[in-house]
Amino acid sequence: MRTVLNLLSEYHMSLISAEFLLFIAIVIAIFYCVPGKAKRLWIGAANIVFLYFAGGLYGLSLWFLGAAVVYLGAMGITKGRGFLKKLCFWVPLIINLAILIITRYQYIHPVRAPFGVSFYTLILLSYLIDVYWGKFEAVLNPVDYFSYAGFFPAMTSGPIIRYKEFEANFKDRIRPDYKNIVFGMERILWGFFKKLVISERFAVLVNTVFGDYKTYSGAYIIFGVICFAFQLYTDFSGCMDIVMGVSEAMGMKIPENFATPFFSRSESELWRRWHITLGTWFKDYIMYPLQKTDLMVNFSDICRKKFGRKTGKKVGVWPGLLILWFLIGYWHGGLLKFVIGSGLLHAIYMICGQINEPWLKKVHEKLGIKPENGWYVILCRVRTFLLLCSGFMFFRADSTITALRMYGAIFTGNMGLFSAEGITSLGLDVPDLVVAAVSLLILFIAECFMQTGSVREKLYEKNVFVRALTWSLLAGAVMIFGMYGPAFEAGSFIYQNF
Amino acid sequence: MKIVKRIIACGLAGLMIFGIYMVSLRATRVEYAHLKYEQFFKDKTDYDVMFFGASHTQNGLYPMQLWKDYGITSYNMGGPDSSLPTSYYMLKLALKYHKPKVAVLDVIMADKNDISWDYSVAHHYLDAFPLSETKIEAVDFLFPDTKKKLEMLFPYYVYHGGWKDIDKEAIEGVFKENHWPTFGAEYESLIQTPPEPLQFVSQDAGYDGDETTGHQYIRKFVELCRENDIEPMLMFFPCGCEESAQRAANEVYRIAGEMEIPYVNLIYEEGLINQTIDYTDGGGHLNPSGARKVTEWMGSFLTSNFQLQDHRDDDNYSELWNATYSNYLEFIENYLQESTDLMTALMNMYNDEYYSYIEVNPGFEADEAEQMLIDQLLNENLAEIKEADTPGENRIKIRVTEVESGKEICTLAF
Repeated sequence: MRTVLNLLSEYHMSLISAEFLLFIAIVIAIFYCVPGKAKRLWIGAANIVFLYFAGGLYGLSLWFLGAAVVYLGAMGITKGRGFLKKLCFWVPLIINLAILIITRYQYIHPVRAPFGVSFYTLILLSYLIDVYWGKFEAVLNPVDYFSYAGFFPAMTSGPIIRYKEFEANFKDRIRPDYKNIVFGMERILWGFFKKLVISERFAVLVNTVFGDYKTYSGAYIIFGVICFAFQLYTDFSGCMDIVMGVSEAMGMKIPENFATPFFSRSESELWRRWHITLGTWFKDYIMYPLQKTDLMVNFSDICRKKFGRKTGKKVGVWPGLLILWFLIGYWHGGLLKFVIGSGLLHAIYMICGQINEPWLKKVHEKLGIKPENGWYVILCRVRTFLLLCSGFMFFRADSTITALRMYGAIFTGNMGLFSAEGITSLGLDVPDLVVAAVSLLILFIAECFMQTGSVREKLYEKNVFVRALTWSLLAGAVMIFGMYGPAFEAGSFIYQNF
Repeated sequence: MKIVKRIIACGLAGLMIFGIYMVSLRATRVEYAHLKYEQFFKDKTDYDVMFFGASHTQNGLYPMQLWKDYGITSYNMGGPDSSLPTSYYMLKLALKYHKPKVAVLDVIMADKNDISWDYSVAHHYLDAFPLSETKIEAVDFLFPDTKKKLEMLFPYYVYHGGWKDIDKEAIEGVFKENHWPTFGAEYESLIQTPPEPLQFVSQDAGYDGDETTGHQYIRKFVELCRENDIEPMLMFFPCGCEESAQRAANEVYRIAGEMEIPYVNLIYEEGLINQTIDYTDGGGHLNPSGARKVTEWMGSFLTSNFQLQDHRDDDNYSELWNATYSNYLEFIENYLQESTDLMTALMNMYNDEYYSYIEVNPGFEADEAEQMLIDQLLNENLAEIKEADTPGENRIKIRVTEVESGKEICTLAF
């Protein structure tokens, strides 16, 4: 026992680890054993243990500081009036933003960012702002609050859960439910498949191209950025699957962060399907309040007068859109490449989309193109995907300058990718490339089925043998083809760094 | 009905996942540890002697020869890079399965304070041992890095990446167990003369300084033996090693004296080993010629100094051991048949199961090592030599036969 504890005390937990699986097995088992009121206490304890092993005492302490000031501030908002109410709002807000900015944006001060700071800061602030706006009163019970404020599955990479969404899980008594537990485990398995089998493989290809774009120029760069899209998606959504699966296994529902984004037909639709909770957070707490300010209302009025009601309404939103996307980009890391690649570029695409919409509609009518035509839908999806990739070039490159140079390097005419050794020179041999391709195809097929409903529900209706075989083969694929272990050293989730 | 369906679904899935895991584990694992230890886990009877130590032990002692010549049952637990703390833990692990009458420890690396073990080598050893409290204790002590500890305890974490190397042989290996018919010994069919004669310090050249970690674990090994009513014995193989190692080995005389246990340093056993022909690698490890001599010496020492029974007529042992011995003869005959040069062949012929007829071309001249090997065979009446009447295309031709039946094993020509 002492030896096992020794081993545990030296370890830093990662979501993609056997230790995390053991941890959640214990947490879930005990969660169902403890009586109703004690469940939140147990979640609180699990949060502290996870944060300690994932982020050390440093991470745990900073989280606790941020969460505690928000807890006290919210109570002050509920009980106070006037100046005190405002003080209880602004002080916790500033403290948490200060922790985020000082630790996260290293050029200000080189302090190590605590684990999950970008995510839990938004979670805490959403609670504080909702209380300030009177959506609900502050939670007095510290157990109820801290079980939400550090809900361990969401600490790594989100989703950014609102308090009311979390609280809704405890309206009725949570009982062990076979379907919840099984579905939860299936989702965790799916997350491991995406991360370890797909994402880690594409990471090898991406790292080769982006690590030496002068050698791997031309078609390699296009290939590399497309691979990065797959890598990032399977990495991030894989993490979300694990997070969702853990919550589901505990009989809890938390908001989805992805909804098959590569099936989006437009930029607007894409950002309703990709990192959903981040987008809605910024919209609800930044953009909509901004739109309601006198300055923006006046600006909207001026636009309506100048451009007409319809166009003026659109133009009136554009400044807010640009600010929103600037902040979203900045949240990713404070560097220009993120501001452009994860922010302003997409705002510009959306604005262009709105500008082009009227004349494009006329062209479609003239040519008899219906929006639901199969080939047209595919064209729109491919276009949206490529626009997304254009931003990813900045996201993945070392800097904005490097990204621009890489764009330039596309036009070198290097077609080496299509030669005999082309693709195998990127770090993966033929067996690994086959696994990457087949697993991506499996993902694509699964997401096609997801367009018409839950794949797990559909499988649940099949006979016992088919279900057991499907999930066993998936587990086998993760065990055998997963890129974990000393030969691979699977990296942490990309968004964990945020 | 719903509950039954759910139980069946979970059970079926669990079974399938377990099946995939076991098949992939066995198809991708490093076979070495299992080839060496599979027999150890299968045997139900206890051994008279177990040998512990590093690769010198593994190459230098043949349990099958001890069985054949003395009726002693033994297992060779030695393995590469095994420090004295490692040997201590190997004894601890081994005791869960077998309790010998005598445990022999090679004290090489007595000069070392470093306890860490090259983990890639360690997999060749420890992976065969099932997970247990003792294994966790051993791994926790021997590996400083947490990740490495977990990899040692759950080797699938390391092996699964070998899926690309799975071939027909690996798949066949999943469904059948394979092990060396040597009771843990490794038969290294190589011969290399040291470039210069090995230098040894005098027997009374001691060790300056405090007792090392190696020395401490020699004491712990002895104490563990005594706690389990096992008679301990210490030894040092005749091998070339640094002066510090030799001096530390000489220090063991004092420890052995204090603890009243037998210790033999075979470096000082005159005439036991021929440096020119008895090493695989120029002075480090013994080849079959050298190992047979040391095994013979060990058998004589064990029967003279310990109360060991001759089990050759004991039905509890003879069936398994005689059957394995037949497999062992086939096993080493393969090495003999695959000898690629004269020296290797002559070394492999040094076995009292064989009688060889050597025919040399007129004017045949052997180099020093070849001549020593031929003389060794002639002196022990394991071969006869004659000159061919007419020159042939080969310098030398050898017909190897079985002593008992006279059946020809192979004909070699160089």
